[in-house]
Amino acid sequence: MKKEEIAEKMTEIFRHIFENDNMVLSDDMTPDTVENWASLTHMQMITALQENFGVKFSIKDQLKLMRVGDIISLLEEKLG
Amino acid sequence: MNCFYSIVLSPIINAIKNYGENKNAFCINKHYYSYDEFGKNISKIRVAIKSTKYQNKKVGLVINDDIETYASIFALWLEGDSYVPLHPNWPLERCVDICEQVEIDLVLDSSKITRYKNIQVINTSKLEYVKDCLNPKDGISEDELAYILFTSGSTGKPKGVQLSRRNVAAFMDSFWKTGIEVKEDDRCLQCFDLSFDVSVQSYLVALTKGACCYTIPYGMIKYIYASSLIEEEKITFGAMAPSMLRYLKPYFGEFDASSLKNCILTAEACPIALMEEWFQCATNTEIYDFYGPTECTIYCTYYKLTKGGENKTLNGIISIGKPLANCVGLILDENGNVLPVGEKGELCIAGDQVTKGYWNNEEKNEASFFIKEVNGIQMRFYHTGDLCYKDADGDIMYSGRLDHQAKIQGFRVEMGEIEYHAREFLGGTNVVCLAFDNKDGLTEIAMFIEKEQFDPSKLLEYMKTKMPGYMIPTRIMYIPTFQLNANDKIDKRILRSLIDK
Repeated sequence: MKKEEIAEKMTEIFRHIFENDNMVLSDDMTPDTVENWASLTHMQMITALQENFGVKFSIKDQLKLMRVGDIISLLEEKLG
Repeated sequence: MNCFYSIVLSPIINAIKNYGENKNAFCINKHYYSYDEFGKNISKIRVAIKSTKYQNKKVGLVINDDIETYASIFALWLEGDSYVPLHPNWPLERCVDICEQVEIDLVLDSSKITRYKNIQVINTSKLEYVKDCLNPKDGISEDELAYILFTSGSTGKPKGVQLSRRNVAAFMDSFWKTGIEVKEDDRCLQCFDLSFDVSVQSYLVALTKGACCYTIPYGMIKYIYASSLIEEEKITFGAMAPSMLRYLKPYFGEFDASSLKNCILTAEACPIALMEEWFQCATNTEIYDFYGPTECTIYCTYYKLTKGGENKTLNGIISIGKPLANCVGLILDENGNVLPVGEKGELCIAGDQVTKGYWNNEEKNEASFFIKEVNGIQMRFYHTGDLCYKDADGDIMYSGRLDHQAKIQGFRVEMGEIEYHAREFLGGTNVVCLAFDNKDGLTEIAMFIEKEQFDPSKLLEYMKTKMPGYMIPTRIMYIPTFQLNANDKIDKRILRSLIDK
């Protein structure tokens, strides 16, 4: 899957979880800069990413998923 | 009994002097700070405080996750002052309200740019170390405050719980008398906001023993960061909320928690099913359930779990055990009479850990504290609002909040009991029941299930086999994941707001 496709799908997921229809993703977004990105929404996001991309994230993977750019990179890697 | 100096300040000053650069006091955001650096930070802040003119000994502290913030606490304590946490992520209006309530005229803030405009601020991260300043001020009374924590108040204005040096000393004395051992080579987790009192236990237990305290930076997802700390830093001791383990449950077995020797579960009711699974992951740990309202200084009762054996539970919730050494816990009826073994009433706590009261709130103080004679001694008790009973061994069983008891059609109904049966049928799924008065003024029970919507007919059938009809919830709502409040407890206020009356 191409990076653009991943980003597009992820935008949909983020907009839904963070209840913000106008959200535009950028690589450097983190829990510090996104309102409401905390334990609960993070868990929902992980579940949604796993379901939508058909991948599985371990707890160690998740430590790397604290930045939008890193999530995209990890998905690219997992999806080959 | 030990005083604040001998059980809190002196051991930490000794650790700074004895360990110096050879041992770490903190690991904050992957950066280690030795006891020497910690001491120098305390000194530089203490020097700045000493050269500042301020009237009020209650000092605002912006609780960033950095060495200056922790050092500020000890600089203030050495000076005989107390701290009032001001959270950097709280709305400024709430923080300013707290400052005004307490009439704070000095704020310690390590932020690059402070949010406080009309109060004197010391920017602690800009200070330079010049000289040691670690000798405590003489003649500080045990009745002086150590900290004031603000919690949400029913009237909408936050209310401040005042904890004195005597309270904190009594707590530390009680804590060590549980037999839990922490030594200089231990690595201790500190995963609570400094606005929540379990943080005080977390840093004091580590620092008074010369151990290292590992914090969780803001902006990190707590459960993920904590699991990596436990595995990579081989954390040996930690207090955590059951909710954090609930988040981690799908990953039990994916990370190595075998280094944990002692694990305290606190801040909310502790389900036995979750603990049995945690025992499988944290293979070498002793697990303790500690209970306590902020008003009684962090914890006032505890129960040690037996691995692989029988543990006392009520409705699937682990017993909160017996009172700590410096606490007296009685189960009282509405008229203040001690109830016999097995009978439910309100848990009331007395002893040196009980706060002298809420800051500037006579009405609330009048309602929350009372004097009762016990064995010929006049004791001052705090109404916890928690419904409990004692078993024949004196272990206290937690049955829920008094305000989670409702009268339905004249019958007394415990939300905890309904939740328990629903949880049993659903295989451990989280369930919260709330009683509410509908538009007709009748009390109904709403049941919130942490799950996607499903046909509840089988569940209700099951529940009807366990409880009388008046206990069966009349509203059922499905919430995929319960939201937690700032203290990692299920936010029941949000759930309550979803009830369409």
